[in-house]
Amino acid sequence: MKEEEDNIAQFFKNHLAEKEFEFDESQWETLEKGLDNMDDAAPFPFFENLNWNGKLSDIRSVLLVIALGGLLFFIGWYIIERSISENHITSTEVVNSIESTTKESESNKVIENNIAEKGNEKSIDSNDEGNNSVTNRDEETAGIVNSTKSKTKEIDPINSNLEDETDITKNDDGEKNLSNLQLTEETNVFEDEQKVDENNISVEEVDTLKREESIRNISSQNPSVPFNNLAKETENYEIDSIYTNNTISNISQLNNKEGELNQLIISLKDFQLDSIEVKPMGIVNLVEDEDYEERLLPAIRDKRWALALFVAPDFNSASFSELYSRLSQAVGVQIEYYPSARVKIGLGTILNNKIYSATGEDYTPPRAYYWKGGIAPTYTDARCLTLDIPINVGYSLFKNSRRSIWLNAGFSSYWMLTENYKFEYDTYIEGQVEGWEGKRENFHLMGSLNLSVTYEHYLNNHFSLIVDPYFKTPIRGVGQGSIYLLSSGVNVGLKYRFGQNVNKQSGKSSRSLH
Amino acid sequence: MNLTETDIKTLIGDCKVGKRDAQKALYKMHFSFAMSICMRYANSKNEAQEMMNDGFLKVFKYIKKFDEQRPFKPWLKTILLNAAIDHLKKHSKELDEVELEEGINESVKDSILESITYDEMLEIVRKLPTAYRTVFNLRAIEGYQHDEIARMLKISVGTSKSNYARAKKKLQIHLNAYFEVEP
Repeated sequence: MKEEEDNIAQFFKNHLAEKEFEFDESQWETLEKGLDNMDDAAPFPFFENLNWNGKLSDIRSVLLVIALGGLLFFIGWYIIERSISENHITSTEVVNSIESTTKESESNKVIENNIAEKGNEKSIDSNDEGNNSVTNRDEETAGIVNSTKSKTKEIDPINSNLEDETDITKNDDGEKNLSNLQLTEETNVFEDEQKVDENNISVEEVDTLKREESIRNISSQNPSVPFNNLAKETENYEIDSIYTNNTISNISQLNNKEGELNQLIISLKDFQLDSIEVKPMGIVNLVEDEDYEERLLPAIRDKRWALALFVAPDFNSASFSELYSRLSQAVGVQIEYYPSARVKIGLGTILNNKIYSATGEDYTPPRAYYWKGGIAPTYTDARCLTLDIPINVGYSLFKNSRRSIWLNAGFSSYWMLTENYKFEYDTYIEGQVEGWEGKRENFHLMGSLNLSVTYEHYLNNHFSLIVDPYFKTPIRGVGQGSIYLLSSGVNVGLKYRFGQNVNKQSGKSSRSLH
Repeated sequence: MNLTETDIKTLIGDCKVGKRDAQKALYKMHFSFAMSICMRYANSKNEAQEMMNDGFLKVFKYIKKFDEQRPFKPWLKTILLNAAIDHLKKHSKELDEVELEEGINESVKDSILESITYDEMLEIVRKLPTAYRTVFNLRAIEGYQHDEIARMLKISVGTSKSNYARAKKKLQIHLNAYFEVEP
């Protein structure tokens, strides 16, 4: 019996081993379509060996995504960090430059003359070249002003503010620049309580004289609008809502020095300014605090990391017209890093239950000959569980102490955890494919371009609410059918910022910057 | 088409850089060979064509890894067999199924066997359950050992041996029925 069976096996081997089949051109054409799809699906030759649109046979792809994400993250961090550092140095240089160009200014002489007129027995040396600058004065009064430590904290914001003044410097208006510089600097030095110069003249008194003179200088160049009643009017206005065009850009800083505001206003009674716009409270809550970053600089360093949890109603479709026809769900987590108050980088993971439909034209499997008899389905019903791995960069369009608005852009990579497709045909023939199911079959690096706008409302020092409408446009086809899938929705969630409270560090604000 | 080994190497070299005309030439050259393999595993010609094109997609995808110093046909055959097995698995055809043994009828005489055509033999083979047919093809025609078959199909060696034995018995039954041999 066994011998007979072996004979049968040998017989079949002899007769079935090979037979001549004529070349079928149509088969080549279908294969060629598959090759075209394969080429389209692998635009990056570098990744060719990692089966980008094939099976995820190992974890190399995931590791590569993480490595690339990490690399981008640290490159961005390094660039921005370096940029901040250079800006800081530049600001200091600007201060020194301004000091050197204004050493001989008349303003300085006038101040000194005024001091003399005040009746001081010991006048200030008119040849003293250091009176104009923060740096030089600090040096000359180092032994007198004993609040060096607190001053040091003030230096950074001052230097940062001076960056704005640099633009004015370029207007060939040295006196004006000096005045603005002095005004800003004097304001920040208000808090120094013990100020006595070496001639026993109160530094505070000198400061007041300088300030008055500076204001007169500004006033002489802005003669149009009387400022006499400003003190009375200002009671009904929010200082944060004052806009300035070019002269006193840092006046909003004065809102932290309520006691001295009136003093300054009184001293401004002869001052005329034509470029100031005052808006009533309650109308302009969305006013940008221009000094936000500078005032909260310590906080920037302290709260650079945040973790956001969110859920989203999610809509997906292969065509824009059908985008909002079927509702899907998403839940995700994103870790964010803030290299500066204006910029953030986020890396997330979003579990997404995508439910959508596509036409036969949209659903293009790698095997173009997949469809029996060449008849593609007219409709594909898809249910896919995907892991969306976004990496985004955000820029703050607006922020104040209570809310912020961010514009975000980035890429999403997709790992198709499960795929379930059902096909419907207009024309039925025997043996048609009814559907397809797969688990972890496809992974797509940077499958879509992400755009979103985040509104963030601060609840306290650590927590904030986020509302993040987003739109994801496909870069390549995803899933077994290589569908170019549009996605849109709104992430709603809670964000936690790591780090100590700001007020403990700076003593200025209890708000976080992000 | 009579191409020398050098021509084939040139074609493969062109395929490695994605030249479409070279791909077509290579495909055309091995079309019959590939179809004859896939026909043994498929239930229909259409299914065999799908298996074959699946295989060639993989061939062109991974051809950069092919060592041109080695013969091309065995490499192609391995890929085609894997494509055929993947295809069968994807279409939920159980490759480890075991059917109850049926009674063995009288053997078919050799003289009758000699008169059978290729298509008739193919039809008889296709009557086998997928699991039996696959093991039979791999063992009897491709010449793989049972441990190799077990790894390829992810079944046990025992299942492979059992399915092979049952395939042969079933073939005998089908041959008897086909030629209406009286029991």
